[in-house]
Amino acid sequence: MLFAVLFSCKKNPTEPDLGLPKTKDIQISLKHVWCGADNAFALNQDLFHPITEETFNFTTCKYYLSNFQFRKTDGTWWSHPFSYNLVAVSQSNVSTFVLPEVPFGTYDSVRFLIGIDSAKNVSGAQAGDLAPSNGMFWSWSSGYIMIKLEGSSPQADFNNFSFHIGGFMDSDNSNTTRWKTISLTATPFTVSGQNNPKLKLFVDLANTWNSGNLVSEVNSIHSASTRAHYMADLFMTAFLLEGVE
Amino acid sequence: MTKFTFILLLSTFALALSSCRKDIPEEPVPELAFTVPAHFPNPVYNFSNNPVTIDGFELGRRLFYDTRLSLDNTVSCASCHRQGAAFSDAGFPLSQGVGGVFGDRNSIALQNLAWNPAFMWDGGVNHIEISSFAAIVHPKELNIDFAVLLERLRGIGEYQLLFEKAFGSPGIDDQRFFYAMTQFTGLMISASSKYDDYLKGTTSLTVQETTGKALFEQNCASCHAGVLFTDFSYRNNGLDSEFTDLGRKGITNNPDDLGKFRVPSLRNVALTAPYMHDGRFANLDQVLNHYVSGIQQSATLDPNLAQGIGLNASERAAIIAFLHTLTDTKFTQHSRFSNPF
Repeated sequence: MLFAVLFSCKKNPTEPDLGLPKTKDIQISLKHVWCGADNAFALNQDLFHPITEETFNFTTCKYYLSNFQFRKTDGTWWSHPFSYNLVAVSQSNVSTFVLPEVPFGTYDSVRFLIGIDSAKNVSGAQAGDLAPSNGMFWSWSSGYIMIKLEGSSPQADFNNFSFHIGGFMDSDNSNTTRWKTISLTATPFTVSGQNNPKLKLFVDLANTWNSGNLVSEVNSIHSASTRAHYMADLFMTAFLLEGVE
Repeated sequence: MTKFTFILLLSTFALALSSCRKDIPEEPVPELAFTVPAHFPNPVYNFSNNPVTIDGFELGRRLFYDTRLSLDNTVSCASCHRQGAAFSDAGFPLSQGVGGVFGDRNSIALQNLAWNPAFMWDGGVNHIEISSFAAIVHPKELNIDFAVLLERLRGIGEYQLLFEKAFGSPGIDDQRFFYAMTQFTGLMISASSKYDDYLKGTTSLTVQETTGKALFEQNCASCHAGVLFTDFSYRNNGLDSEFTDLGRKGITNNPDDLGKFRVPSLRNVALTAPYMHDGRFANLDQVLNHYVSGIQQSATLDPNLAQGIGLNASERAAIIAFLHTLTDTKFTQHSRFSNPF
């Protein structure tokens, strides 16, 4: 009975909510573009790369972002306890997901892992975005595919390409995951009870190819090869700040 | 009393209470728990995140034997992992998947999996919970996209009920599927052979078996080590000098791993013929003859085998007699692991 009274007190909107955590769900928005912010990326559409003069037509563009961390203005980092997000471009070139329960505060930097940390790669059966049925987990050599890019190109052997980048072990130099840090110093990111915080990034997928990575030379990767490492480095440069809300 | 047994007793009590009103006789609930045999080392996997229940185990058992897990409803896990052969594919060097296509490697026995640090002949799978995933999606095995399989199971009323019963709420997803499968396969413990009885002091070995045991310990146990009869390492045991199957190198990409395969457990080895990763040896005589006089030289050959193993005919026969003491028919005939359909 006493518990019931206590419980109902909490529900009373006029009472101060001292016990409630000071957090807010925030939104991450990823606008996929091709050679500059004004050119939308799209599946099933010819995309010309002006530097390499190669043409790409994507059927699949999926990747993982995980382990989000935010730097407070005192220089310390807050780490999200569980952030594993599968991004899959579909009809729209903008993908969004929610990071739940980010503490109130002002942040001047964000960083995240492109791919999945090694611990989660060896932790058995997972659900949700990490479920193997998402098609982002290698069955024959356990581990998450961090980037999956598939499609066709007239410059590629057999006119198609299939890049499955993954690998998580430092011991044999197969760790293709990458930490990406984006400075928010110019546009501090505030999470409070008053706003609906949104962090908006551009993802310029054309950055994944340049004169050192031609689809006419390599059109297929399915392991943590040297070229996979190079592509992971290039993919990392695709992420740019669009703005905050 | 284990915690699990206690919970079972409680739930039996609750059932008894709830059924008081009607005089329906309750079937006795069989005890089921993951119990580490006293003479075994600590397991790698202990079900701490996936508590074993009868409903979970029985769901896993049903999935294991259900041909609806394959693309064309023809092949189940049990098609190539037969209980009577310690869950290997009795007699077949390679096994047939969907469409009668032969796989690439011999179907390895399933037993004591909770002690395995890795799975498959090349150790490519790193966790027991996902060990069935590779076989289910492999084009030469069950050959089904995992998302398609889950959709199929969601459309089967029987499975909707069984998943809800096993996990306490409706829903069929990857994790629940693998948890249930692991409850079944992880409880496949073989620790009741004549050799186990000998270790417990409840039986004795014959003179020939005793001789074979000594020879085994002297010549074989550096790799087939301990009570599990494997050190879980990857070794090139001199089958070939050139390699069509890269073995462990296919996983690590390390040239030092070329032609290396997992040292298999020898428990129930008399039931798991044919032998080696490609099933090339039909019987244990051929296996022993290989180690005596068939070793092929190559850069990655295990140094212990460079000269072969010197064993005469009676010594080989003694080792084989000893290996037969590892046969555990209590395991291979236990109704708990049999086909529920």
